[in-house]
Amino acid sequence: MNFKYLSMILVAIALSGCASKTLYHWGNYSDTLYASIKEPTAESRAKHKAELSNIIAKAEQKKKKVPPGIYFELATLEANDGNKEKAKEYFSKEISLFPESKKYVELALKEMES
Amino acid sequence: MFKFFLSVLFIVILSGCQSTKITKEEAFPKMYQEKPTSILVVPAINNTTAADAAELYATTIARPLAEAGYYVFSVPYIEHFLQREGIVDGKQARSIPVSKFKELFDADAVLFVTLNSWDTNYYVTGGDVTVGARFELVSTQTQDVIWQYDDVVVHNTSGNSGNLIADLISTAIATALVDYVPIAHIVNQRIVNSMPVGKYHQRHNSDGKDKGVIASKVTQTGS
Repeated sequence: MNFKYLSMILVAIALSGCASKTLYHWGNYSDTLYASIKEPTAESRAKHKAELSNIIAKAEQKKKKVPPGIYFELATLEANDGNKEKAKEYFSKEISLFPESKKYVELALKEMES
Repeated sequence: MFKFFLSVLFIVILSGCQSTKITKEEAFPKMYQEKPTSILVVPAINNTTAADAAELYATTIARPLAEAGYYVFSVPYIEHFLQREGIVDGKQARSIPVSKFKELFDADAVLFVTLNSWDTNYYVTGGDVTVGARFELVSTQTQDVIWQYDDVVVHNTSGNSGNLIADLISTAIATALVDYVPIAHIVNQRIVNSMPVGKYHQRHNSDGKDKGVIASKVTQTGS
């Protein structure tokens, strides 16, 4: 009985140790992206967009960074929906998190304006 | 039959344990010389019988690369961009000079992958999904292959309650209905573990002596 309890605690510690080692919070990114590609409907697209926002919100809560590309993808979805100001805001967030993104953000901004 | 299978498994494990291991530095010196910070992923070449394999790869590869400390360009965005240029698959992507990716996106390196196998297997009371892939990271500056790995990852989907009939059924169900996204994650993670870590990782530039790279999986360029 005691051993079982102890091993459960050890597993929990080990698992939480593994979890806290990640740089970023990913949420269900792969699942919603995969679904939106396999069955590209307005609904699956909306679900993925919602998941991107969710990741951003949760990352802050969990004190983890937002992964590369999340703000960028959300920006492109907002741009496609005609929300240019929001798109610009998210694009610049991507650059401030990851300076490596500057050139392709500028490319995406140009595409948005044309 | 089961005894035979066990002895085959034993040999496979033994040979795995005896594979020559080398350090990351020995395996991938160019990674430490060039220190790429950003990676651009192009569509996979899919040589498997699984129609989904390229999409499963595309939706799961960003995570292990980012966790390894690299900036990863949005995979779906790059895919759409290439599609608008008439590039719809991995073979076509290979025909683009890699310097173009530096010019357009400022990417330091481009990741190419050939998916060689994606098989769902059933055996006595077991099942697994076996994925084989060959990865190559190419520098946009030098056009050299700076990291590569060729691996076959086996993910077990066996039931193991001890009750033969129950296990057969649960294995069949588990293997048939298996959600392939987590498996794709596992495969990609296994392979990216051999990669020297990038700028955003704590151990950037200090993992060179990590000895865990299986030499036989680091193939010669072009072979």
